[in-house]
Amino acid sequence: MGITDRKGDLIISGALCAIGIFVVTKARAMPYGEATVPGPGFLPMILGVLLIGISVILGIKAFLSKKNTARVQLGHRSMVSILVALVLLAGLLERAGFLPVMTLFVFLSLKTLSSLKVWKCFLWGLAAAFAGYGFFGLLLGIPLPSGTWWY
Amino acid sequence: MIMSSLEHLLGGFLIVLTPLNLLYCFLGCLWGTIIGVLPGIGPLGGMALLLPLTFKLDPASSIIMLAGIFYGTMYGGSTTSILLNIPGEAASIVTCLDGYRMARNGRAGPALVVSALGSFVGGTLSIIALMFFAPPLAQVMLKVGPAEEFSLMILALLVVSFVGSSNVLKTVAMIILGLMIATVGMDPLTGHLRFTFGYLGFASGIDFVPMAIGLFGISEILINFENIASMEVIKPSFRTLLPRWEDLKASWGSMFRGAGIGILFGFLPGASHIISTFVSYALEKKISKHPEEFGSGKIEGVAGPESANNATTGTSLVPMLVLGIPPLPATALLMSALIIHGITPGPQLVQEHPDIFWGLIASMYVGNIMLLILNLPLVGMFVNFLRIPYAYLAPSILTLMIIGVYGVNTNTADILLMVFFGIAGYLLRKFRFDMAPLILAAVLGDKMEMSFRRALTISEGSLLIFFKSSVSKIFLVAVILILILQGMAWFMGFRRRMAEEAE
Repeated sequence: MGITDRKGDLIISGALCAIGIFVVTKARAMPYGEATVPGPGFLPMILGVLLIGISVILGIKAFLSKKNTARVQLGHRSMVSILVALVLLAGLLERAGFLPVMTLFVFLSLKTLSSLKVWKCFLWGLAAAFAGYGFFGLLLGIPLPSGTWWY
Repeated sequence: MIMSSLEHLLGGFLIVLTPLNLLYCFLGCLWGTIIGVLPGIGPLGGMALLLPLTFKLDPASSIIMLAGIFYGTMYGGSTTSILLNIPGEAASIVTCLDGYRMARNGRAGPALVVSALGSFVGGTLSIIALMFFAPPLAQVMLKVGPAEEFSLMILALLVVSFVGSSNVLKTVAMIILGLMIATVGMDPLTGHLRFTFGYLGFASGIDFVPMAIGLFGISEILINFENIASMEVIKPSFRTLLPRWEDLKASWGSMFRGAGIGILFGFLPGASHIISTFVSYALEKKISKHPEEFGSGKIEGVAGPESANNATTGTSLVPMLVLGIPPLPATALLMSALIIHGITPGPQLVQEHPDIFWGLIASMYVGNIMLLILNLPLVGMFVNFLRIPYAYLAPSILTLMIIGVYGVNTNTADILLMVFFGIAGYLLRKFRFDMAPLILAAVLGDKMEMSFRRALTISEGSLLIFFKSSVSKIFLVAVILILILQGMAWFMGFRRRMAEEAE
């Protein structure tokens, strides 16, 4: 998927403006404090207003720029697969444990990104998971989950 | 003062020259070199990976190892630039211009050696600068209050916005976004929860490591997926590794000039390590008798920028250690590591924790020698990492990132946070929004807000407190000057554009 620089800038300035409006709305519900002691809502309010201002200027600048600006390529099939795999990994890591989840993650990533055969991807996944666990978990003592499903 | 600095330095060497600290220093340097060679991780990601390991170490050993990764990455970054035409990290972009050309001309060996020597010269001179600048600056900063702190942070963020920024508006937007991120969590003065969305994990704020790894590491990998095609690696033979006498003669001056530029730029927040390389390259080209040869494999084009980017590492630690203001994202991680160990970087650090300050300086001398040894004869070994296709490398790098992020808090929500920031970073980087200002503002935001509110509490609401002390006045005058100069530059550019359009 590709969109022009101009369109991208317009979308991002719109998103930044929305964040600014959200922050201002939330900050209004926080104690604003007094002139002598500014409260927790003071800075978010100022930042929200500033972000709205800047994003409006950015948006106007993008709107007034030439329409045939360079196209920016966005996204990639493997990118989406890897992101989904990462989210699944976060959900499964503590339940299934580091070794099986990491084996699966590396297997899926290799299958998506490379042209390796299935069994080779699996072997690499297994090797990466065990190497990671051995080096970081056992040797360096980083606490890696062993999973709750197996107890 | 020199004698007292040398005495302290001796104490620092006594800390470093223990077998364990030497091992941690070596591990840091080795890891840093490997990370620098691998495109896409960078010093921040490399340090974050080993951050959980440092929890079990004493603070001095932790900072010695993490700093080793930081400057080790700068050494390793040039290898990919020279052999692959792909910068291992942003500060090595300029090295591609002449380094890769030299490699194509069969002179990869001399380019790598001169780059390592330049890194050594720059790195060593900047440690000397750190050693002599930091303690007196700390003495001055001990006398400043919250008003001065706030003015200084405003100045730092303003410098980030205007120095080396390709689009000031986009950079300012990133700074505001970073400051907003810093407001997430419990307000330290009132205990009020802000923007936590009912999730208690956010009460202590958004964790730095998943945010930084997401914005820099994950986004970089996602961008690299788009051009995953195989890369041609030039492997230098050991016989051609030694530079000729003329190469060394031609590059010594460039190394020292590059070091001077890097030392000066290291104090600046933002992208100083990157800008210094461009300035050094431009200077070398300007003073060269044959400027037309630059870009076709001129050794000065490698020596100067490599020395400059390594020279920023030492002086970029001065603001972090003495002022508590990290000028680079990687130094922000060093600061986080110190805070995890209960040590707050700032003017008191030099007096209250001399073991850390002087231990770090001494370790940098030792580390630079280690890196020179690692990067000269072992360069062939590191080159082998580049032979691994990116399709195989990416899952391994992702595995390392997951372990690094999970290991800090043993919380899987941090992995999700990393993915979120990775996607945000990818989209923002695609449309040329800089990530460094966002990270720096997110790190400084907390402190900045506290200084501002404390100053107003002291002055009972009077904003004049920011103009009372001479230190604060100096910072604010600098702020006003930068704004005026930037305004003038914008106005002149605007007028030129209007005139061009009229023609």
